[in-house]
Amino acid sequence: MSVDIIVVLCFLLLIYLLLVGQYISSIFLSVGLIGIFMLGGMQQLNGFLQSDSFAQVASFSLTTIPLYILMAELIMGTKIVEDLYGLAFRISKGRKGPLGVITIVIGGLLGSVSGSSSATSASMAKITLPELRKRGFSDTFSGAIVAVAGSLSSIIPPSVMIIIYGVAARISIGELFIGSLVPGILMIIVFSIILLLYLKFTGEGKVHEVDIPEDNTPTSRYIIAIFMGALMAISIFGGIFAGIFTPTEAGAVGAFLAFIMALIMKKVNFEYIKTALSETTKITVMTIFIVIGASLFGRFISLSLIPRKIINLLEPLQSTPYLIIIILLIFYFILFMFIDNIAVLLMTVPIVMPITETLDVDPLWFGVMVLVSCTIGLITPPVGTNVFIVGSTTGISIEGIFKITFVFSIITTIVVVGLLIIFPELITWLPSIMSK
Amino acid sequence: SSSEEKENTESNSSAKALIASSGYPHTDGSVETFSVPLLEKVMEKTDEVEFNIFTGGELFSADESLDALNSTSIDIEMVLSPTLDQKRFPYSSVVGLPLLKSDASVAAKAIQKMVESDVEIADGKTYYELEFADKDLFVLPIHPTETYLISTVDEKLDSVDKFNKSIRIRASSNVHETFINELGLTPVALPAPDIYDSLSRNAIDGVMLNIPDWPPYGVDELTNYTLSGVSLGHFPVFFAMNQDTWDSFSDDVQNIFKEEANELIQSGPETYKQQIEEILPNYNGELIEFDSLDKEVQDKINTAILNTWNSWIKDLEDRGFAGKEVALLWRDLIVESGGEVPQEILDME
Amino acid sequence: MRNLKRVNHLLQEFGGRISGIAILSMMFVIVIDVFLRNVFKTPIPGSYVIIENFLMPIAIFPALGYVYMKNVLPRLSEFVERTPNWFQKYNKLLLLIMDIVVFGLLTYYTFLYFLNGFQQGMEIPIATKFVAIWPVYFFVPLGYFFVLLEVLIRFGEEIKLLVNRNANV
Ligand code: NA
Ligand code: NA
Repeated sequence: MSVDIIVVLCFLLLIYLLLVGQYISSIFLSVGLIGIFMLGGMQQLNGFLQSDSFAQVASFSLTTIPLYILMAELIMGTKIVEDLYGLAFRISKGRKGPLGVITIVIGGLLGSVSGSSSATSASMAKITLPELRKRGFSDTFSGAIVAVAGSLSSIIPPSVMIIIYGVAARISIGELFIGSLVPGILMIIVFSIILLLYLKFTGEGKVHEVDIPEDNTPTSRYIIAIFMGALMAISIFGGIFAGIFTPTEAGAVGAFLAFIMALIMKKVNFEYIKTALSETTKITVMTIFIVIGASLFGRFISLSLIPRKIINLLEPLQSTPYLIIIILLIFYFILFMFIDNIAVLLMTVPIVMPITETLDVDPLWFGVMVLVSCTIGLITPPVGTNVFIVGSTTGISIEGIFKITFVFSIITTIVVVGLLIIFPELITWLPSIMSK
Repeated sequence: SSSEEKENTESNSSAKALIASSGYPHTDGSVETFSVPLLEKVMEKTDEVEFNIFTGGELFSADESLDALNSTSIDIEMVLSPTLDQKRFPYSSVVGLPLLKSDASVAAKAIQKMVESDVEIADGKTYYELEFADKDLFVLPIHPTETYLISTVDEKLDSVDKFNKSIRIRASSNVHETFINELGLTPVALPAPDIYDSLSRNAIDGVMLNIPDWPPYGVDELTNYTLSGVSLGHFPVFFAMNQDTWDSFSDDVQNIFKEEANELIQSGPETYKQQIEEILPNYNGELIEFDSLDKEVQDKINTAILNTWNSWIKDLEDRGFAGKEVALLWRDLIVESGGEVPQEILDME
Repeated sequence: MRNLKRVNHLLQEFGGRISGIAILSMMFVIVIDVFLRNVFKTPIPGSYVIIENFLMPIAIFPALGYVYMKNVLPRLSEFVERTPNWFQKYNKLLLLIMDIVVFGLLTYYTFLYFLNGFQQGMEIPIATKFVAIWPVYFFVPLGYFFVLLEVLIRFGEEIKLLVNRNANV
């Protein structure tokens, strides 16, 4: 059987299994397994089956997932976030716009310390989503806001994705960090504007007087919440920027601080710890289960050489560089939708970099563009990882969330990607003045 | 020409192509200056064999090399790094031992001689037999990395009292950890992608790396001092496959492999030298020359080198391997190839 | 069957606890490491290797069956819920059979990997000392076996349902 037929069959199987409701982790595992078997038989498959699971999991950078989630769970147990949302809600007098925007900004801030968009969206789904629902947002719309906010962690530095891209493409990580700052802020702004417009032009924006819980919270609780929240944020960001701990370690320190805070607020009991741990376990293991599956599936995609064949097809277009860049970005966008992001970067950079070099494109600009498309890919149907994570953490309909995030991803693609293509200085200007 | 290329790729996929894999990215020195050019040259010179090249851990990560070869999931491991698997490759980490003077070209000559050496290390077997042939592996030596150096952000390591435990240096192997300990500094193990961040935020005070590896981790941007003029060891790497795979090649193909490998192991170090010549002029930091240091400091470094050799030998012998024999062989070959070691190591017997 | 279910439930809960404890230990190791590094300038030697190679696998693998049991694994359910009943019934069986094959293979091959590591006495250097890593390899087949157990029990229940329904007709 030719490789192309095997790939087509496997993709059909993938789509079929997706539609008939198989677990995503099982789909990746079974399609990857069948694909590698068809390509190279048991002789080739057995090595991947034996060592890949352990090799994937034994990774220091993945520790961000359990530790940031644990931090989120422990903070949630102190009810600080609930109180802060309550306060924001009181100040915004029940208007949904400001609340939604605050959520997106929080996603950007969490994203900037977290390397992992899965961890950010999972913890946000835990902390902020119940609050949004309580304030009259529909299930699917709150899920969508959280997925969108969580996607920002790929583009807002320090991001593990940026680091991996820098190492793979041999671009200064410092310049990539600075270069992705303006696009990151731009995405926060565009997401917020879409959110406000969405509220204005759909039924979602209506304030349901009945739904608003009565607020008898004493002012002292708000003061404690602000004080503790600020202390927490200052210690985490301050600790990172003062070099006391790395962003990877910040999750552990944050979790520990949250625990101390809960002790002070007399919230710690057996139930508090047990709930936090079992919830952390569920989300962490579920996420990494998918990472293991996506890895095996990624091995199949690599072995099939399909990404390379697609890129070979682009060679006749060498005379129209911008067309190739747009095609490449669309190609990345599609890959990011389907495959684990880190796998996508690692398997394409060696092939795409030579092409962009022949096109004389600024590798820094191109790198940030790839990261932007990665961010959007996280919320785009049919396989936006973030939407799956939010859906599975909360039980909200994935299809319903996708209907909304699709609007976000389409508009953001047109506006942000368009702006960055027309004004590449939005990416390159800051790094150019910093290096002088 | 594009239709020709298309035909080419189709014939590639229909022929039974061998799978060549590396856990390192295509920009890695060994991949870029040895493994990929070697496979490309072989394909250029003969139509008998085809290779599909996978880098960046697309198939297996660097520490899974031996398992990937054993399971026959891949045919060629482009960059086997024995240092990452010291349980099964105890002897090769000798290449990581600190020296006084050497460079990639000296180390390349020495490793070639060591692979060909008929000196018996243990059980009447040579280094090559113990390390590779016994595992049914066939390897071609790759030039090791350029020499490792210690670079620091704020601390200028130019007097004895500056060498204290409060200085944290990122080490990339346990041999380096031992050496950093012996210098009186604190070794820190960190994943490579964390280097930039940790250096820029003072979570570590310095790193031990080779100059061609500086730019991807921002070491040239972020450090202000580099202890230079002393060679703190190399990182050993090999181009490896199962003996069966090698035996399946015709004499013709085997000879092309050997000839091209022999040329690349000589030109590779030249590429590293050029990279250093491009990186160093733009380095804003200060190079502290070993020869210009106080006698006291030189002695301290010499002693640390000697102690690292002794502790490496003892560690291997405690684990039941012939540490002394392989260390002496490596010393002799390094000196023979133009490198230098402290007098006490020369006197070792 | 009921006893088997009870045993399964206990095992999975136990796996979940192990994972939770490993995550908590990871937090403490990192916090102590950060504290020692900044206050006494002496980090825990090899903490990074311990977390990566020991605590991470112990945090993930034993709880694979637990998350499968707790139904937190994501899937698209919207489409299949609109299909006719008979399709849903056989679809469920088919998906479970696929999972039996996948997790059976994974259990078997990762067990081989463990055996291989055990026979070779695999060790890794932590700071400057060598420590056995092969016992950790055991958590991988154990984790996949827990998933397999859960899948098999679900499969048994589906078959029982099917047989009962047919008997009633
Ligand atoms: Na981030
Ligand atoms: Na994705």
